[in-house]
Amino acid sequence: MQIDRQTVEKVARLAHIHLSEEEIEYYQGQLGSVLDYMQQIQSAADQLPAEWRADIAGTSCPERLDEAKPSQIIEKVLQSAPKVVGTAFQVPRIIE
Amino acid sequence: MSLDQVQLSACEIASAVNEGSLKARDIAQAFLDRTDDLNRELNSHVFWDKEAVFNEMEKQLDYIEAARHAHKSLPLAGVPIAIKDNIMAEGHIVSCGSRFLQNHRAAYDATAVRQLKQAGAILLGRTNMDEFGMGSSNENSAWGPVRNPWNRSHVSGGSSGGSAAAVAAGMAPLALGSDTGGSVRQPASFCGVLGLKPSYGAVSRYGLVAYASSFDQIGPIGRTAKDLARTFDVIRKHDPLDSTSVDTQHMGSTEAQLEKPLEGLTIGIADELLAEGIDEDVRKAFMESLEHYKTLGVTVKTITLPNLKHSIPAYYILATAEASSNLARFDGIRFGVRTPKPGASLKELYMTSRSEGFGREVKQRIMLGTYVLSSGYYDAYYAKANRVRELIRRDFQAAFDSGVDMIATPTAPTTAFALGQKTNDSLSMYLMDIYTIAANLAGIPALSQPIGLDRKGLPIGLQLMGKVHHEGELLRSAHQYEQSKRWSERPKF
Amino acid sequence: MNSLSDGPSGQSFKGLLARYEPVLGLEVHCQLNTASKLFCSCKTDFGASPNQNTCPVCLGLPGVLPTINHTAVDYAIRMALAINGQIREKSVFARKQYFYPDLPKGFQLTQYDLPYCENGYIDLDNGRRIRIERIHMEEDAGKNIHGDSASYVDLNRAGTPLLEIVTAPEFHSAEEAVDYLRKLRAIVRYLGISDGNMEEGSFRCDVNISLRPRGTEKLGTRTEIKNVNSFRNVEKAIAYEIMRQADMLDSGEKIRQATLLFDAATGRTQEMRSKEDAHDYRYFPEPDLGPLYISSERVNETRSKIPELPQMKQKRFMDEFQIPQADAAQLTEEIELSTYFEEVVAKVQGKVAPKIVSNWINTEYLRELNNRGGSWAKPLLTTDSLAELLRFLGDGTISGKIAKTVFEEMLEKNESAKAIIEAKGLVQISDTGEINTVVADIIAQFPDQVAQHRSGKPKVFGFLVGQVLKVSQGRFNPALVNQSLKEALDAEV
Ligand SMILES: [Mg+2]
Ligand SMILES: [Zn+2]
Repeated sequence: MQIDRQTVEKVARLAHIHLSEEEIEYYQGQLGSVLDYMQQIQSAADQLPAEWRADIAGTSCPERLDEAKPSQIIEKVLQSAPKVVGTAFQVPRIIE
Repeated sequence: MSLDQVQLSACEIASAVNEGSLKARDIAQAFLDRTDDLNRELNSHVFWDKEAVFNEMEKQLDYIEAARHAHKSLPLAGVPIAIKDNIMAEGHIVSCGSRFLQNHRAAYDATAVRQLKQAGAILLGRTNMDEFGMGSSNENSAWGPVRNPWNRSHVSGGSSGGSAAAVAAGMAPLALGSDTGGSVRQPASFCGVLGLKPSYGAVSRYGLVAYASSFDQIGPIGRTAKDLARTFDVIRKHDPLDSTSVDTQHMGSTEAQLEKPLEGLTIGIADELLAEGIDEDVRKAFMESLEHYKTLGVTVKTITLPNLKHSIPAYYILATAEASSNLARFDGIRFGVRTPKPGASLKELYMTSRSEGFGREVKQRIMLGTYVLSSGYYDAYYAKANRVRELIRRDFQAAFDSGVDMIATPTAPTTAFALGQKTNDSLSMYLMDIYTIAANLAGIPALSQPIGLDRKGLPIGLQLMGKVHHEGELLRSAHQYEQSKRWSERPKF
Repeated sequence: MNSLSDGPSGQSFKGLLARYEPVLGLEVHCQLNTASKLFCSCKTDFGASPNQNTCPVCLGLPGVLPTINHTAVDYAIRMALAINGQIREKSVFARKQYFYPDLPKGFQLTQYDLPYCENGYIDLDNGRRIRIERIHMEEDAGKNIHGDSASYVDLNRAGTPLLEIVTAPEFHSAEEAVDYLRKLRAIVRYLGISDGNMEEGSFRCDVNISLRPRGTEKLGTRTEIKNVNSFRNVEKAIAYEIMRQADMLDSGEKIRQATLLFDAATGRTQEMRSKEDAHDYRYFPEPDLGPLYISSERVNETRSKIPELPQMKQKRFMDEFQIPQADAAQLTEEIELSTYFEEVVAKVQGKVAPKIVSNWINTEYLRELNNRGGSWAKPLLTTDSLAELLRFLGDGTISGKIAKTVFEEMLEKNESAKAIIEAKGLVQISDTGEINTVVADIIAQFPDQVAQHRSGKPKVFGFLVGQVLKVSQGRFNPALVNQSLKEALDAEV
């Protein structure tokens, strides 16, 4: 399956990963052959009706009691955070 | 003396320490020294710092000593255990084999680690791995590949390559790995040790850095089935912090069941899985191991698993989809490495931090996962792969319903391959997981045990897959197999 | 402020509405007032300094997992029942993926195509029924704080439980939208699941808006106004946007789908910077949580705990107490107010008509409450105190005018009505002899007015009553004054 350059770029943009020229080419090749191989599931999947959903087939999730418990974790986290001002994480100014 | 000590099994060490015939400190020292020696050759450990490990274990040594004085027997008293680098232990640098987390100090303990500490185990270093668990050869680590203890120019397998190599080389009697598509079993097979991937939900994932959430399980790697059983019993406690955690206490101790005879058990084999792409030595050893199981009273029966051939595409769609999302939190804002590029805008900060922090395979899987979830492709890939996953589950269910207790395959189609052999061909690397992935798709337990060496002297593994929450049968089978056909080979140093 | 009749091009609002029909839909994000967050045990109080109420889960650290809050689910069920929604037995949490610093995991846990509630409704005062398409549970984001040279991330709010309540596009005016919002807000407060505070952001409103030529069916292109923070601003934002779109349509321009912000200072909407990529949120089911199962037993049990809701109560007040709709609506907007009213009514039963109690609470009490910046949660007077005052009014001990004075004194001095009336000698005088004497004096003092009265000017009578009451400092029984004055004037003829 051919994956075009625009597709690789679009996916990288969605995933917020910057790719070099060389990487774009490399991934174009690799993703193409892997996606090609994946086509075999198309017909295999049709053994089950399209309405079948995995997400409601699972066992239901347990619920936690609504009790507030303090966590003293933040100091430790701030210590190894990339950039901190006071107790907030700093990022470049967000332009709305 | 110290060479004798590093040959001891985890259970032997625990008994000796509980009795007082061996000192936990001395044991730890012996393994520390050996790790220090061999790590240079094998690159099995990351951020190895003998001093730091030594200092950290003081508290745990006191705890073990106090338990002994109180005549309280700890199941893993003084047992050194190496921890895969994607499992949290407070205060450790937990890098997941990634540049992104080279400075990431864990702020909390994983539930499994907490349980190990309570059981008296001593954390002895962190083991190398494919970045975020993405790989089958350990060549995708930012910290370099792990070398196979049996042949230094071959891969250890992955992604828990460091853990398997460490146990094989006697750097620890036990290690924790994690298994998403075979990451405990395949390196265990390549390194000639045992590895267990528990049923999904048996071991808490809290504190395991997620690769693919619906597949990941923490599992033990060791040199005896008894050691695996004991470790598994310690770490499989129900955990309210993991909503997918299952209470398996009704199973009782798997260790206590090890001696129960195997008569009446049936192993299924599926011919279609052994048809092609399998190494001759591996096939031969596999058939011989089944013959041996027959001598232990096990019946071998042919079954069919028609959808297992779709395991790999289904897995790589679903696992990468989950991974693309699980790895979105690596953004350079709250932890990990932020790009040093000055004046970066927010967008550039994301793009560049992620681009610099992630390795090649991780980026590939993130992109693959992003692609299959993106608008217009979800139904063709993600939704269909989920249906294939269900079909595979049903195949297993049908096999178990037909009277089979376990299903056997080789753990991998080949023995450990040479370093660099498959690094530029994703697909051929992915195909190495052909036998292991199905158990993760179905959530069933699976174990790899060593069954011999190929003509190059590299270990061959047998995989046994069982019914959900029937680890006991896998461990008991492997135990009686190794008791009756003692595996005495060790890598040479 | 621009009046509503001024469009950007100065055309009349009414004229424009004759040509275009506005179609509005509302999305409300309502914060639930649980003790802990939706997926972790942190406090939901975000007044603390940045990041103080955070843990590994809501910080999105590697290795953590969500666990759902039972009470949040209970609250969600209450809400669904209050709007007569259908509750799905198995609903699914999904990951909505995008990168933003206030979103620590890189995805928001929300419900997507299988929300827990669908197809509810709320009836408006004008009799129209507005369909609520869906309600789903989701987690709130943190906050980005913008500085001059950088922005700062505070995750105290991250993970707070939200209900997102989405109506069908069925409103046709700002008045309808505001009526709906008032009713919805009253409901969440009656249910005790949210404080419904718009200014503080615990009840946030997004408005979808489009115009179509009157008499046509097809919906026009819509814009979305985000986060409008008061009822008044909802009204203004909608009016402005209707005019803006009408002007564009009139001049042949195409409406572009856009997200807008309403600037309360200028009264205008402004387009938010559009993201360069069209949104592709890549929703997929959260693998770390199973489906949310809500049994019919649980629904029924919750149903039995739901209090009488504002619209029911309003109707009951009208029937039971014979008070007009507007008064009943005001009394029932806040649950504490309605309870207060009913308590006072019970305590003055047979002595003071409920209508009088309603008038008193809706005017005197409410004015004082507003003046003092108080809230219904903390009443100015106990119901006992107010009932005592109203009983004095009811049995004629004091006049209505005196009652108001006493009421003010009660608030100032924190004394009982009885004490104030006795201390100041404010008891109403019903001695007709005393009243007749003053009436005679006043008739003598104001011959001109008396003459005017005779020539048929009815207003003068009121003036003369006022003069009599003034002399008595309000203590004469007004009914008796009326009677006496009337008799005296008639007698003079
Ligand atoms: Mg939302
Ligand atoms: Zn938290």
